[in-house]
Amino acid sequence: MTKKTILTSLIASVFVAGKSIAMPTPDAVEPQFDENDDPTYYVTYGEGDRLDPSTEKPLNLIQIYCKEQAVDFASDEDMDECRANDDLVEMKYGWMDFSTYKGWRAYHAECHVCHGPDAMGSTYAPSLMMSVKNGLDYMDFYTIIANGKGVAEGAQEGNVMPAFGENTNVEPHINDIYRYVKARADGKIRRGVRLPKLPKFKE
Amino acid sequence: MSILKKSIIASAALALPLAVSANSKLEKMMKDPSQWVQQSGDYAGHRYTTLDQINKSNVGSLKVAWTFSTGVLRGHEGGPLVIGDTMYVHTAIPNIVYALDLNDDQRIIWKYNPVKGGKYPGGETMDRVISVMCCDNVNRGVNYHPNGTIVLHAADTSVIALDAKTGKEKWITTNLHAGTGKYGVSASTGSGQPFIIKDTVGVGCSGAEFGVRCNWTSYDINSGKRLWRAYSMGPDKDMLVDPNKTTSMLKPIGKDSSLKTWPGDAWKIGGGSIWGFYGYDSKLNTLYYGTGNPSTWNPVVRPGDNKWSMTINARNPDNGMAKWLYQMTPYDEWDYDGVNEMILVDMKVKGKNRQALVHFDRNGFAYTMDRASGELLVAEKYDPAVNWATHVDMKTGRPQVQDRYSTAHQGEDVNTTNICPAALGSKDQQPAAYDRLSGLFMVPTNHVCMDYEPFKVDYVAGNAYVGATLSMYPAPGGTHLGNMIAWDADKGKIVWSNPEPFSVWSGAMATAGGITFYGTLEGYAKAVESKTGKELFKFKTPSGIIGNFMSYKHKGKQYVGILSGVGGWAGIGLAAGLTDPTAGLGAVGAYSALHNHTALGGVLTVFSLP
Repeated sequence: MTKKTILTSLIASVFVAGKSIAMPTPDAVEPQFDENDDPTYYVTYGEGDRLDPSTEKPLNLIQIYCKEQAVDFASDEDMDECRANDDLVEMKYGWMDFSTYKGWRAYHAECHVCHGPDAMGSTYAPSLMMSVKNGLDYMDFYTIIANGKGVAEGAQEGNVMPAFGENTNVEPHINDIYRYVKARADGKIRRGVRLPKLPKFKE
Repeated sequence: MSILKKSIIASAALALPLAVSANSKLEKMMKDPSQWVQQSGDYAGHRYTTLDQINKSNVGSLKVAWTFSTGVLRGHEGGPLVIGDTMYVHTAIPNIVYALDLNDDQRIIWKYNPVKGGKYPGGETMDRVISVMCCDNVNRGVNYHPNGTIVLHAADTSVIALDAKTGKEKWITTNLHAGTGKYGVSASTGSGQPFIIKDTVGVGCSGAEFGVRCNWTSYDINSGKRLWRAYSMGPDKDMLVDPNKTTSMLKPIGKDSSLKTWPGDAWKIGGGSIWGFYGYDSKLNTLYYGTGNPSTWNPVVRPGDNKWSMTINARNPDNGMAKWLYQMTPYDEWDYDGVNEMILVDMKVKGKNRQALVHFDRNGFAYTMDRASGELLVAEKYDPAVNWATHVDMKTGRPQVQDRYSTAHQGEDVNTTNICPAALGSKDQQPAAYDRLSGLFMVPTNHVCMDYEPFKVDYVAGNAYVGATLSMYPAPGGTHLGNMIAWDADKGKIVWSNPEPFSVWSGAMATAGGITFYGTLEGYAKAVESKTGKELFKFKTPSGIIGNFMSYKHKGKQYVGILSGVGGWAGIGLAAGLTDPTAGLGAVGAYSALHNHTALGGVLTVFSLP
């Protein structure tokens, strides 16, 4: 279900709560493209968990699977089963690549004020995670952000999407935002954001 | 109806005598519990009705008397007014106002829509205005002037005076620009109530997430002519402060008190929005309001106290001059807007009779001040989860910030974790009520914490200017996101606290019947015993409640009204539920999503005894 990348070396370190924690080298931070030339997410998985020394909680828990489904998409019945039976649960640990991380950040600075935290929607704006999961492709995603969208068909008067094509805090990051939302849609990364980024490398 | 007729005649009188009579007339109307003439019920912001027909022994049998759909789906904050036999109901964007005839089964007497041909009076399209509203399309209600005027503060910042009888426009003035770079200015919007004092109407502004420099502007109620404007930051003359006479912590603020606390000209896009609920003391002739966050949310780019953002303002409403200022959160690093309501209560504080002002701030501290002098009397946490500061130093008035929760100390591009409260505050705009019977404050609160990562953003006129990411989750040790609490503003202590699954985002109302009403985000209208918090009544309304309770009496019967219509910041942050990102599967999904309980819909529900 998930392509597991084994990390080979540890070179960088970050400081968390005043202590140094080893960070893995990313195998790749370049965007990857699928057969349609859509940039796609790339998530690096580490081996085992890493604990935040101040809380003793795993720092890089990147997704929880219940019966091989990301918890975002597991049914309530499955979740009840998984709560009762640890064997049905799988924890994945890892880091976001820098581009996905930038996308997460741009999303939560600009998009989430309407589309809600974690790309999950609000009372009035759609969940982008579900839009992408249900087939919104990269070109449409880009076009809507750049040009905005008037009153959507069937939507209530007053539901509009502003254009961000000239917003320098958004437009340069649309690829990154898409990677983040795609990673959410594909169940690669979970809700919540205590996901340390990979250190930035000079390209 | 006779009241309306009289006031129309009065408006023909000369300006000076009218100034006195209009004020006293409005205050007289506020004392009549059969009407609800201002958003807060009265100038003191008590949100208390002396009606006791509905009381703790019979509230359990409360029934829905009638309902009214506003026809608008987005978040509905504020509440309706009742003037004589007419009720005035407002909506979210497009900011429709309805006048309903209480004598004729709520027939619509008139309906006013400020958006004509897709455009607001200021010339911006409705779509454009929506795109520069932070956090949903809410409006916090209309207000009434006894010369027969209903005033609407529309989303594009237009101030619109309507004939209360006919709904016809008397005058319109557009306060600020909701537009873009074409003016080279930030996008301001209007969401706060217009506030009537004497023969003036004052409005604040929204848009601290868009780099505005906000202000309070006062207009003549008869002509719409601008009288004065006081900026939240900038040069002394812009702020209408007197360096020698305006005080803070009882001392003169001195020259350039604001300019000294901003790097360069950052004050020009400094935020300090004003959109909460305000107070007015006619004996002291003082207006009270709070200012919001400095922009951006990234504190690293604006070192300094960023005065006078996050500040309680006490001003002379005749000329705008500031009497005293008190900054609650100098150098904000968490978006703890200081805009919440000002409640004016004459009470004993530490054994001494005081003309007090009580304010429950977003930052988690409840402040009791002397509203005449601006002296700080009490500052205590009203949610035990609050951790960003250990306490407020009573000598300096400054919060003692903990480095580990300081997003400036942790720095740009660092995710500062476990900060309590979250940016939406221990309480947002949802106003508290003062129970005159028990002397307690009935406070709807949030119980939510956050991670916050500031980073550099460019300022682009007309665009959002935020510069931080935010992740919210329930406060440690619990699975609930809100509490309804009773607060002792003298001792600075919680008296009772009822946990609620979601933030309590509705305005409370206390009554002489010994009960307090509040609403929940799932849509429950609830009544509890004010003294103990014991739940006596609940009814699930059509949508989540972020509006404020009100009460009136018609043909001998007491009614209680509340607007439903989920939305606002609560609707954004909680729609999908929150999750504890550090927890394992045990907690995943434990915090249920709001959209499993309720959906959009602006509906007024009115209750009475059978």
